[in-house]
Amino acid sequence: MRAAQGVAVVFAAATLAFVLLQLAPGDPATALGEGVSPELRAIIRAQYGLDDSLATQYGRWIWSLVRGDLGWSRDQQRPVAAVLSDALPRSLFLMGCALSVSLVGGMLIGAWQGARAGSRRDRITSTALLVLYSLPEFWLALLLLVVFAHNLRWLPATGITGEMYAYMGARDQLVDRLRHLVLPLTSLSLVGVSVFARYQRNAMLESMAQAFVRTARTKGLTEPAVRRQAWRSALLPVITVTGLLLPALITGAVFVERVFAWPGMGYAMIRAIEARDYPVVSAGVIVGSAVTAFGAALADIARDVADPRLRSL
Amino acid sequence: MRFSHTRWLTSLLCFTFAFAACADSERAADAGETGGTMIVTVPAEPSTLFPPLLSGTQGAAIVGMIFDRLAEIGDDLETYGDRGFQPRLATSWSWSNDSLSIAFALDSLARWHDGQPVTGEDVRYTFRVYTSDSLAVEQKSLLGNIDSVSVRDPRTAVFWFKRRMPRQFYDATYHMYVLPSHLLDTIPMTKLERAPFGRTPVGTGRFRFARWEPGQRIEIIADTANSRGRALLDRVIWSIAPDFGSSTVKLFAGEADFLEQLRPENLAQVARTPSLRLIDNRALSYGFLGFNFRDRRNPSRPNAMFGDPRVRRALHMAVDRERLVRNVFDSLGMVALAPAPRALIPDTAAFKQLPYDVATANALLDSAGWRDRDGDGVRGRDGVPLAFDILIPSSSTSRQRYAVLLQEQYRAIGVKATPQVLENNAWSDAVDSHAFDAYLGAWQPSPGLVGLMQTWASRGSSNAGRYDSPAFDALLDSALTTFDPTSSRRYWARAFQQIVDDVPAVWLYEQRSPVAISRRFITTPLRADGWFVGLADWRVDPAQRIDRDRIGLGTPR
Repeated sequence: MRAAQGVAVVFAAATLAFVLLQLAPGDPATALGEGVSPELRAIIRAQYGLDDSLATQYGRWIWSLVRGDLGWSRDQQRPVAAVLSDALPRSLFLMGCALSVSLVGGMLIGAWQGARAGSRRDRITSTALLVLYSLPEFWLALLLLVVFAHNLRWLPATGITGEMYAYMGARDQLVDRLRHLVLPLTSLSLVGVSVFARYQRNAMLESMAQAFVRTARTKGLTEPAVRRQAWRSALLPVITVTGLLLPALITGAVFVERVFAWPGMGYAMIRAIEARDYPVVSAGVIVGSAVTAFGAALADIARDVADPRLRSL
Repeated sequence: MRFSHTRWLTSLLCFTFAFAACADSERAADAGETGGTMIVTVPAEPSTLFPPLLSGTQGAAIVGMIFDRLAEIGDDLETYGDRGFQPRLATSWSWSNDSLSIAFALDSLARWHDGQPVTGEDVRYTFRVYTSDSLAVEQKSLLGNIDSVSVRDPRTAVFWFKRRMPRQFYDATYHMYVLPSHLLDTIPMTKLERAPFGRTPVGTGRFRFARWEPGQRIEIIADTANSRGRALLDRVIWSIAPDFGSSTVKLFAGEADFLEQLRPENLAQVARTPSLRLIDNRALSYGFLGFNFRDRRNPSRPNAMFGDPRVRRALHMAVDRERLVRNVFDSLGMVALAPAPRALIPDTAAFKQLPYDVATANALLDSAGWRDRDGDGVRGRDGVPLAFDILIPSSSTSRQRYAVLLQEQYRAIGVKATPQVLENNAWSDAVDSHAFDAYLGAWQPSPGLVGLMQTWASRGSSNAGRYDSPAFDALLDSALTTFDPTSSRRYWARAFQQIVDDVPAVWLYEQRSPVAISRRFITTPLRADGWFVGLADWRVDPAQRIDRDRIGLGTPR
């Protein structure tokens, strides 16, 4: 059932993206920019069937999809599948790292705060997290770029690897990769940490007020053991948020990838939208919505695992 | 086995040249002239490196380094006859008596990067590709005077022309990079666009293609076996950073060595950075405020405002172009004189500009019947206000600033101009379909100014404002077809005077495009139509080499 819902969501999102993009002004021929003659634009429109009706183009696209062909990117002059196979793993890697750091960092901070609710340290941490939560990722990314790459020159500004990566030894290559990961990962994770920490803290507070915590204490369990029990119960809201946070993470990654020239899905999508590269945008929406649907399903499963009572619902 | 005298002589010659080349190369290495890595930071990557399908400026430098033309235009960009052209793949050329054909003798030592010799068949194939109906080739419209290309012998290609024209040689050489027929002619024309060659090109240039990591970088390295000598640098890497701010950070942090298209706000920082210097670069672009001569809703009618030359002249004279240029570009711009940059105008002193004169502008509008009768600050006529939108593409911050300044200057003469920033595609759509009153445009004409026929002549397909002047058309045609350079200059001056007086647009600015480059590099003069033309002769000062300059020509892992 979940799988069928997921497929329907993906299909609806991709269709909507296809139609909206077609209705937007311009096409791949106008996207070539100024200085291109109308004759050349006409040739390109004819070559790519852009003069056909929306229904014809949509039918052609669906038929290609059915045959497993995602199409040809006019802007990148290569198959869309090749564009995605380059970009998707890079984005998944970055988002996976960001999600892990956000989750672990946020849960640790939130649990720590929950155990000290109302204290001065809790209030200071909450304020700091609120400031982080309010920061737009794009702005934060630019700030980090200017401070750490431009002013201090501690870290590289852009890219997944340095320009001389191919000429380095294995150890230097690893170091180079890690150095390039720091700034985009930090930009994406800081906001995530604040989100998870806030949820975790509140969940911990609610959990600590539950009857089973009082029972555990009266039974003589040590405070760390009590907190561990409460923490497990406080996991549910965090797992739910993880599923909901995926779309936001994808959106954040779009901006962060642009600032740090991280050639992932965000970079590919922005470029494709500017170039009116319909097949790439449509395929990107399919992938994005599939990842979101998959993430939501995974969160559901994780909730079931964390709380067996939910399985019967 | 018999070894013929010809073969023996050829072998001896090859050996001698190879020995000389090695000796030269060693001498260069001894003197520390070769070696080094240059990293160019660019905002976007090209779609393809297949020369006929290259569109816009992305990739032009890379293609220009990997591929060669038959001959290269001189630094003065002279397009008449073959004056100033330098041999490239062709070592010499000869004109037929009737000047309807040119025979190009190809360099017998020229080789493709895969080792195959360059032949006349490559030249013939190149012409076929550039003029194919199956491909969207931008240069095709510029090759209309070439009837065909034939192969006289493996080392001679002959271009046949339809008409005797002053720019035959330029037509045959400037628009086409020679392609390897032995790698491509088995691929149907309709499939060339999708052939892997576009991402792994094989050329004849002094650099050869090394690698393309999509979204990250493109690398070319010196071709050590090149008949014209290896490039002095070991490698050039184009590093892709789509955000302009990130690009500048890379430059100032020393991660990149070269940035094209600096913005005025970066100049001071470049001056403050000891490791960088600026090189002035004349750009060939100009910007203008174009008017629509026809009613945008009913093209059979003239535009109620801009159909009247008095209104257009008033709108030109009300703009203090000098002040606007200083405001927007600081020292990186100058007032445009006409629909061409100064570098391409044969005689800039021979025609007069409309002056900045607000009083005359007001008087012209009064005489045209546009008056502010209701005191609302906006002139009107027959109940119609003198008001229009100025369309601007969202990608151009300089044009957005121009639009605001124009709005202010027009307000002073009772004209309501409203800037409308449109997303690039929407802007292109509106301009192409003539759905505008006024727009801020920019053109980058190529040497020879043949493109003026397309952009400003009455039947020009890119004449968005539908400017229609038989006098200008005739003068332009004469300027382009006259063989006598003195007469041609006179025609050009009259053509430019005509269009300046007709005011189909307010000629606003010519942009200078200084580049920022690391002080390690010793460069050659930049050519206005492409900074990269002399890149193979750029080198690194041996005393300033850094780690990445010392890697040598090793292969990437």
